[in-house]
Amino acid sequence: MKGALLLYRKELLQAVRDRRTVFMTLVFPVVFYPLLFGLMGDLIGRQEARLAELVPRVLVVIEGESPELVRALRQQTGLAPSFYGDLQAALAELRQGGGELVLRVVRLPERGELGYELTLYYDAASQEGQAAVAKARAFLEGFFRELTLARLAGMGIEPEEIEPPFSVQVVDVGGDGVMGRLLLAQLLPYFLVLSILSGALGFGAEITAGEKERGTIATLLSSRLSREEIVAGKFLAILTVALVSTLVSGVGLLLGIRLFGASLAGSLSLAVAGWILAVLVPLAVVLSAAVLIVGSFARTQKEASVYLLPLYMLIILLGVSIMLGTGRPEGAALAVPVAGAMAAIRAALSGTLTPGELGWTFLSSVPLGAFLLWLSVHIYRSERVLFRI
Amino acid sequence: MTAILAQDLVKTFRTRKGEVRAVDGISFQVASGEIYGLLGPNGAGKTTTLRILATLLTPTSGRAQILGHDVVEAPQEVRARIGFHATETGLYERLTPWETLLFFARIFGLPREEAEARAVATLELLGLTELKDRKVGTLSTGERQKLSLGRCLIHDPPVLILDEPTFGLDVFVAKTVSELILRLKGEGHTILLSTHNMHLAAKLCDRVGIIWRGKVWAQGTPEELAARVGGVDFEQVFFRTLQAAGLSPGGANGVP
Repeated sequence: MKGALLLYRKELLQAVRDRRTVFMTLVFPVVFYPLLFGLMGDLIGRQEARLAELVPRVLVVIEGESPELVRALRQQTGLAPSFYGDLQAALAELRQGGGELVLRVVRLPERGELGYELTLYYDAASQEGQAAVAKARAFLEGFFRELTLARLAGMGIEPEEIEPPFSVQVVDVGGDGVMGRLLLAQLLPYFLVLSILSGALGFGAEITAGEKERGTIATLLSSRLSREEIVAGKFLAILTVALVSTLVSGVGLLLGIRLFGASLAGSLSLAVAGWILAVLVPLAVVLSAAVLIVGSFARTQKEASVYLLPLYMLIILLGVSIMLGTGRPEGAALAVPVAGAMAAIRAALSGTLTPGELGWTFLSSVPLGAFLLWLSVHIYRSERVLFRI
Repeated sequence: MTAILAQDLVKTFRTRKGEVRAVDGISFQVASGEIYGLLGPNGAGKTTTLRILATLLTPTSGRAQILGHDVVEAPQEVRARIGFHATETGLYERLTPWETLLFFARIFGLPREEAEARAVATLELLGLTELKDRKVGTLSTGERQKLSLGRCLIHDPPVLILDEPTFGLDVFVAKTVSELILRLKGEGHTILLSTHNMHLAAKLCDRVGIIWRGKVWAQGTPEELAARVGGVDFEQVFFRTLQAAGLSPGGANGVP
């Protein structure tokens, strides 16, 4: 036991003298996790506040005469109604993003004053749609309560509390696979971007810092390969592994969603997959080049892993912010590296990504990738980095 | 004809503790077909000198040439004419010897067919033909060392720069490597090697430069150096040469 304790003390002494171990064990957790949960709390709070303040655009279709309901809709302030004469026209407008909700009202006078058939049409994959349904329900409940109270008052009854007799049918117009689309829109951007990095990290560290650790770097540098060729060869290898990892992760995620029970029908068309690929490839260029630089700078694979960890954590932070984010980044906001790409993938999944917005993600990724590759060549020319003493 | 030229080479490194002068005005020449040894202890400046000649490091000042090509001005010309063996074997664990040799042959510009022919011949020369399809990671230390030397030879360079080629090898493997180096000399290669092994230097080298603290303190054939200081074996030659220069490499107890 004494021997074990001696060894234990020696190991701990080594640990506290290793600045990387001290940082990762004592400093990093108390910085990262408060930051992560602080960000999550802030984003959720903002999201809730935004949905609470939302005045849903309600496309109202009334079949039959219902002047009381029309008047009530016009007088309230929680909904923004616009009136349509035809259900199909209203649904078409809803699908084009002209509103959050369609309210169809069929007046059934034969059932008396409370004879209404109510249907709400919305896209269940949309948070705004869900919020709109809740607000429309609250409005209708208030309307029927007033209507019932007025009728009871006419009969000489004044109850303190009543449950208004009305029912609403809710129809999702988003088609099949609501859960699948929700999961896709929330998780796919995050996991795809994360899988680029997870694919590139280990392999990238091995073929860069690992070369130094094994002593093969001198062999390679004294060959006829130019520094540009060395950088290009290593970069392409990292990029390939990163993209394969991303592709396999994407397939795995889709399989997972299918096994989970959600239909993916219509969720991911070939066109959407193409959009996503167009966003991911330039992003993979950036992340692979970043891994190449960090790995080339580090002396050992362990050191490279430690240096790359903050990049990994940054992706997690950005992923969380995009998953829980308020609103949809547009225009130049999509040029923010990594975060812009995640937002663009989310937009592609919802079918709202435009070629211009795709251009913004290119605008950030391509020059940044080129700059990082230039920096990599510089590192491979720097004997101070390659033979650090 | 001079195959390797080092003239007033200086190399300094900036470290946290200040500037380190790893090479401090080294000059020597190696004639074609000669084996020249840089003999000195660890930290003497041998590896830095060899790395300059292999174009891995740029000299702070001075000049170095391989077969007339300047290492700073024409590094690609130099690389095409040298085979550099670092202290570490510098091999990829998950490749086979065949794949290793083929890879290095191709990156030195040999066409596929010629590369394969060279790989076959090199494996034969090294006695590794039977092991050509095994992963490098499963080879013994001696087999790896031989393969590492083979990698340097694959493009048939006229000049070989070998940093501690027998470092860490048992006597049997060291003997095999020594024999291989002599064989390569017999085939016309010019060889510059570094070692801290006095006996190896005496056995292999046509001429030796005694290096310590970044300077060459004496150079000549082993016999000339021995005669100059009256040493019986090469270890005595090394210490007495440095003592004659006013240095005390043996520490407080002086020279043996």
